[in-house]
Amino acid sequence: MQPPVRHFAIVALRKAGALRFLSHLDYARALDRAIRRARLPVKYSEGFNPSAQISFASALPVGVGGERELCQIELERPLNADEVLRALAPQLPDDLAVVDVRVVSGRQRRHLSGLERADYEIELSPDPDLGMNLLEDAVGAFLDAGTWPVLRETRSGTREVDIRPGVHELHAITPGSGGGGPRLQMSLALQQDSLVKPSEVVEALRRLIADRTQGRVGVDVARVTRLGMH
Amino acid sequence: MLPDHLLHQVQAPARYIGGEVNQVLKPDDVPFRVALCYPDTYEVGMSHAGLRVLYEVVSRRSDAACERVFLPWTDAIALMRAHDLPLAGLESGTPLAEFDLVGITLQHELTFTNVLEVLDLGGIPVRAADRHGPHPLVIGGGPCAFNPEPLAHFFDCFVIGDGEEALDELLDALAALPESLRTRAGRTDEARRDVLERLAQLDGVYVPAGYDACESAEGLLIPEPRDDRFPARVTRRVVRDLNAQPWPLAPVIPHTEAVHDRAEIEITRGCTRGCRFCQAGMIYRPARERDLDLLVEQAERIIDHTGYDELSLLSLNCPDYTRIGELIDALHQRLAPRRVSVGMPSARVDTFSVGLAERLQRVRKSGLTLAPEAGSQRMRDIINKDVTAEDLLAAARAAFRSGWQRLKLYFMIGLPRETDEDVLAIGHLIASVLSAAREELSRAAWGRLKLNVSVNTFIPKPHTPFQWLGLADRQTLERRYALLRAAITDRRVSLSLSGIDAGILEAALARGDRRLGAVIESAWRAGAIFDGWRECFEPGRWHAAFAEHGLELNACASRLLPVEARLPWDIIHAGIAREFLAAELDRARRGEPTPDCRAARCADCGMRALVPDCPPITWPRAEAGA
Ligand code: SF4
Repeated sequence: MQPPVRHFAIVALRKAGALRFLSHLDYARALDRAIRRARLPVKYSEGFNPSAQISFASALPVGVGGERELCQIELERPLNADEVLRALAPQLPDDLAVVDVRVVSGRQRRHLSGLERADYEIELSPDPDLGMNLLEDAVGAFLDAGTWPVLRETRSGTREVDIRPGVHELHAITPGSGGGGPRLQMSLALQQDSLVKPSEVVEALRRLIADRTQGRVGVDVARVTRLGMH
Repeated sequence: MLPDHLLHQVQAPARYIGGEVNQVLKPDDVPFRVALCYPDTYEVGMSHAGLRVLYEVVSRRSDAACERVFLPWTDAIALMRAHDLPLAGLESGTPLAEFDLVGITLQHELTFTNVLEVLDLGGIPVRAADRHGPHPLVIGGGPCAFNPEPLAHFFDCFVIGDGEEALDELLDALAALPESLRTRAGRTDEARRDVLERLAQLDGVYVPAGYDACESAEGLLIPEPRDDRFPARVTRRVVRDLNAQPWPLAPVIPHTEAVHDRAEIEITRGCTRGCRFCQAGMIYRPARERDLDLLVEQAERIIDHTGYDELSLLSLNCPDYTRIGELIDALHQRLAPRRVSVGMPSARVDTFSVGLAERLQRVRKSGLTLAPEAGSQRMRDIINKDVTAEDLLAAARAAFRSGWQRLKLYFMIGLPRETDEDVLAIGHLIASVLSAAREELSRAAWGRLKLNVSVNTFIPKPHTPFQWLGLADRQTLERRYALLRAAITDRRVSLSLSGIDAGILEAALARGDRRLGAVIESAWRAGAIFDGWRECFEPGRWHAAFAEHGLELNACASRLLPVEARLPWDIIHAGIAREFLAAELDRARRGEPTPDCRAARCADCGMRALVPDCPPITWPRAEAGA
């Protein structure tokens, strides 16, 4: 028997400003309520505790912004992207705005599970001691390293993981004219088995920079933004 | 309030960012800026319906802006102090000291040190006497304002009773003042005193600086008006018609999960069942209701504006709403298609109430709460709790038959004239609930049965028939809690007992006089904060603070007062006559009931002095045309 045809809206949201500080749970609840206020015909699960069928590509850590955070909303009936956008957009605060909406109908149940990488931009606090040469040197050394083991706390204890294969791209970018410090852009693995957190890459660079300056120069993160997932 | 780099360092930073859906932002140049504060965490304060109502009252005025203020958790307080950042309103980030009015709701004695922390962190001198002309006026309200004396040093005034009309009138009065008094900037100390004197003329407003605390024969400090500009007694405000009062239809939706994170409608206010221990039952008389059609309309609008999936009915006693069955059905009919569940926090102990709960929780049987309050019939007669063991068992049986497998039962110990046998009777009652469950439930359901038994210490409160009695002494409480623990061993029962030390402090503060101001300040300076939170509460600080001022904490809590004595809270006329309270105390001693005046005749509690046609609702009410 063929699975039934399902209808989805794939929504990209921008999580910015102070709303970066919503936890993933708070963010999910805010979106759920906005969808209810928008009166979108969302599909609910069966059973005693029916819940709206909304799922997310990946949770953002508290304090991290997102330019294109993806979620899929299953609908009772097909709508066009414009209808979803027009209903939902006025219900969301400015710092949690809809970027775009795509709709799909078909037998597939999951539309966000194939995403492999997440791109991040990390702005560092300005520091005269942390010049571009030093930063680029550390980035180069990290990329040249064949492996980069880090320790991760898991439910079953501490485990050693090699993050190097999951760092697909890493660049240092000169501070812009509008003030602020240098930036790092990186593309990191998103899938469970190879996932790398941006904080782990920053920690690696922090150690490399400390080694090069006898611990004189630190790395202070001002802002982390996930640019997108693909 | 906290810059980004500090937000990264605190737990639950979303508490501090503001900008919630439905918050009301006003232009910078509105004449009055009002901060409304619940002196506890964001999650607790955002759950409080009373604050939401007052937010609505102020926000809908064109001449005033309203902002919310909560007490940051200790991690954020430490950072704010280290970086010299003042406590500020969530809406605009305006520091507390720059508001015209700071209203603080006093819901619980164990938030008193939080009040001082809020003021100090906001850059406002904690003592009213140390404030200057331009400082905000600090106003208290809520149930603890019914004995304002322990906090008299810290507040410029208190508003007693229902706040909707009173706050509006207070703002009207301020708006009518001449420029030199009204505007905060440049106001002289004398002008400030002048403003307070004028506010003291308003009904329901108590300005403690207008009263000297004089020692009575019993050694209590009793406030006496300095001169005839200050009334001899301040009469509580009562709104006669709830339908005419505002109710927030687009409440601010908390960012983080509040303790009560749901839509709420207030179906009734006040209760005349007359439980003798219950302060709310005495100070919010008479019972008043909102009309059914209005409630259904309000419920729908709130759901439209919030997207909540849960609606809760607010009342001291939901099943007492005269058309409760119809209301539940109407709400269910409108809201079920929108996947909104309707909940009723309190169920009376009878099968009727269980039937109502059954209509609400048709599929999802989360849990049912019943409050018999005491274990023995003798004890329930003393406290005028009109419930028998048969009522409880019938209610429990009905619940089990309808499919509930989780029951929550509320009891109190340390009640007046209680004996060890009365406490053991709680154990017997639970045993009979268990055997009822065994008979009613299938084997599988019996295996899943859970009884949550919650036991609190009875605290004598002002304006109740037990106001003259002391808290049971520590040894007695310890023994009775131990007896209870030993008597209840079934693994299906989980027992949660309230802390004895917190109860002693609550009792001492509840019936305190003006001397306690210095004690509270000492405890706070020694680090007391969030006393209602087990992880923060340290009784040692409080014992030391009482001792520092020549007082003994346990003795203050347990002090018995003569019925003829003048009491510190007599300055507040709550509506109930002292003679009624004294007569109720006598009837308690004899175990005599006082029936609900809605169903029987008026018990002459004194409320007719405030509401001449009391009771506004009679029971059973003749429905027009029905
Ligand atoms: S005055 Fe009479 S009717 Fe009114 S609340 Fe008191 S006892 Fe009830």
